[in-house]
Amino acid sequence: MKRVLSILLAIMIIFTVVGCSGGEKADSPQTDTTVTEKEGKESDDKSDEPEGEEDPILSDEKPELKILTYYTGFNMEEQPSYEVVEEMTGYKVKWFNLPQENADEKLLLEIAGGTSYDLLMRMSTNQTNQLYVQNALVDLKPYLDKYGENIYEGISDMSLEALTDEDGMIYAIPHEPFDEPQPGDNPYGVLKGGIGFNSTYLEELGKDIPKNLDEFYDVLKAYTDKTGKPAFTQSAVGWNNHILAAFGMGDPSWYEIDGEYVHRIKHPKAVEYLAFMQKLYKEGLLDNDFPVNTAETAKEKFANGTVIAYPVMFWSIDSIYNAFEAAGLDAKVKVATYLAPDAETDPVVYIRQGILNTTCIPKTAENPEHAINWFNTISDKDNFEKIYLGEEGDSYEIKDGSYYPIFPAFDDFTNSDKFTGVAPASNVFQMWQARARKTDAMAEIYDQMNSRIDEYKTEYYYENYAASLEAVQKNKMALDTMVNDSLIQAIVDGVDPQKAIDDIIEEWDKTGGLEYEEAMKNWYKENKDKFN
Amino acid sequence: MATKQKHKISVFTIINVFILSLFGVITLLPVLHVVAKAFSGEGPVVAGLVTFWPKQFQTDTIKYVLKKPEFLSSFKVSLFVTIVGTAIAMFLTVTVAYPLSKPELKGRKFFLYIFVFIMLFNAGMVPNYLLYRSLNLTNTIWALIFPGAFSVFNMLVVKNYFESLPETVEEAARIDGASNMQTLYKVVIPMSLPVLATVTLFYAVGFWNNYMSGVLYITDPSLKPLQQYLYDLINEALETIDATGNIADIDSAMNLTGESVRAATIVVSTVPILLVYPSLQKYFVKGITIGSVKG
Repeated sequence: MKRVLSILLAIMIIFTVVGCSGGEKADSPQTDTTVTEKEGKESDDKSDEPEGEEDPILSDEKPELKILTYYTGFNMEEQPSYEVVEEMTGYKVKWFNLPQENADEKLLLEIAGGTSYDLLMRMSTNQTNQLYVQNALVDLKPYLDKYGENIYEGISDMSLEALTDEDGMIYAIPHEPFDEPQPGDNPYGVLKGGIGFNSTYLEELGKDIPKNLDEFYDVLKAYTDKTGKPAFTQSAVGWNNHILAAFGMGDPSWYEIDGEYVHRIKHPKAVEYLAFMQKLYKEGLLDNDFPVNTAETAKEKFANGTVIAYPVMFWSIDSIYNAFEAAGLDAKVKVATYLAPDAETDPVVYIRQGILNTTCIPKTAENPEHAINWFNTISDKDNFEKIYLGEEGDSYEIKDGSYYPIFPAFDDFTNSDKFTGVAPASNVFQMWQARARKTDAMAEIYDQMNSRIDEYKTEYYYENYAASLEAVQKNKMALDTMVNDSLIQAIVDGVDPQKAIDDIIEEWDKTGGLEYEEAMKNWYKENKDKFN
Repeated sequence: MATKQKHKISVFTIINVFILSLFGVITLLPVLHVVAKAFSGEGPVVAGLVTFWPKQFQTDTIKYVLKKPEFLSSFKVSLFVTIVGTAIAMFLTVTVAYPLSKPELKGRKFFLYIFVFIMLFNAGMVPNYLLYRSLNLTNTIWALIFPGAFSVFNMLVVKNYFESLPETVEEAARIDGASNMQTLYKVVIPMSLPVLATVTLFYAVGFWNNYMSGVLYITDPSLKPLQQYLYDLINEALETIDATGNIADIDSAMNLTGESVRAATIVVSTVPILLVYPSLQKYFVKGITIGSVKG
């Protein structure tokens, strides 16, 4: 009897479970139909619209917009910019955030579950691409043509083209970074970090700030010889871009070598770079604990005066000076920016071009026209400046062509970049620099880093445009991690650098590197002519 | 003989106390480290000079955290979810466990099978998400409460405890004219305080520490639970750097929260749940000492 009961129970439960999942399946086409119906309605609406001046979208009551954006450490609605934008556009906005972790999965779940956001703002290119592949995005072209005049003005053709498919569908609006100069712009300000040196220790050694690889080695060697301590520390990274610069590389992962597009692991100078890092490690100049360093522990060793050098970014300078003071060090930081190979060769700085993130509209949106109209309003040149920096003389000022913040008014603009549309102004990069000069120490170090910018050769790189290629998304992250880990291993083990690089390349080819390379090479061949 | 035994016990006790104290200290040290950081100036923290005692003592970071609107809103959400959630959960648990503890309940086995089945098998995250979505519960406070509002395991613990209570006491109550509900609330529950305190603690800690529901069901930042806020805050530095070590979002990298503020946030958000333990402690002791049937 008992057994019969359990079997019956099991069967009942199975039926319930199957019933449930069946219900879900039945649900999804329903959602699709709603979407199609809605789209149908929309197109009908459009054809019914009179061709006159009175566009109800622009004149009628404005609905509350639901906008999903990426993770922000703050509530968008608590920011001072929130009200500025509301007043400017006349739209009330309810902001939603993706979580910091598993954002991609969460986004797909939200959209597949049918949540109706009017705008997905600042999604990664990867996220937009996934939604596009799932056919979950609206073609923005008709809306942009009608309501997006400022948006068109604010984006480069190349970025727009990257988000337009073969059928002419624009599936997302690109956001280009504000913190990089455009080709032809004044590159002053592009250097934001480097290898920071403790000025007191430099003076004690009687050395100047190193500009090339030999000088760099020379300073480190002198410090370790004198103190017996490691001279340089960093967190667990295999590629140090400031040192790589001396080997003809830098921030980019890809380089054109003799007409071929090559990843840096296959760069002819990769072996030399590894040999140099091994030498630093073996001679104890590079902190032997660096493979287990976190960003914090590496910073500690520099801030409490153990090492003479550590990679710094301009914005961490105030905390370093506070720490110097707490540790009883009377020192400043002198920065060695991207190193030159030798005294005769000019150093090179690579400037990133590409799409930082993207804004799109899901098919489940209830107010796509209003969303574009809203985005267009915040992308207006004057409105952009007002949201981003406020009023000149009130929250910022221009001294000798450079932008400086005025406090306390500028405090309201700390996170204002999250409220801006696309950047229509040509001097966005100069405007961004107000943020780099928030404190005297930051301004000083930022200007110090850029004081030698004239000596630098500038090269623009465009690999970020390829970020949404399928082969790149599939392989890049795992390969980057593999290369990073193997490089650290090789630096520590001190094995023959040529063999170490060969081994990494073998692993690279085996684990998707060839597919990634082929995609990048084809993309480069097709798009090379568009690069300046 | 008696002294010998006493001697034996004391050696054991010494070792025991030593090992347990060592264990206690080992678990306490990281907590002390975080507390020390929370009350230290940023300089000593960045320079790695703070171990277990604050340097450049200050309380500004704690004040800053307590004034931060995002923290306050998350704190309120978690407090509400914990109090209301635990109340709902205890009500459901007790009202399910009590009838199931009675052998004379018709279909008792059947219901128990169902409960055990759902304890062992569940639908998983995506179907749950779709369920909450179709019930229009996503982005509501209930999406943080319902997923934890009933635990079969806790119910079984309570049921077993109810079963262990002497039937005679309930019979006495019934003879005095008490209804089923009166018996439950006036006789059974007061006798079961130890298990109820334990289960309350399980639920309360579960709700307070719940992180997944926030990630899964909430995109409205004003409903973000405290644990998610904390997790995001601690990990935000990692997000600004991509796999090649390059900085992906420079404006976010520039505005990272300082280490002492992070430590202060951890301290402030841990205190409330720590306060629950001592207030429930007395029930544990009472529960053991109270005897219900005498003579």
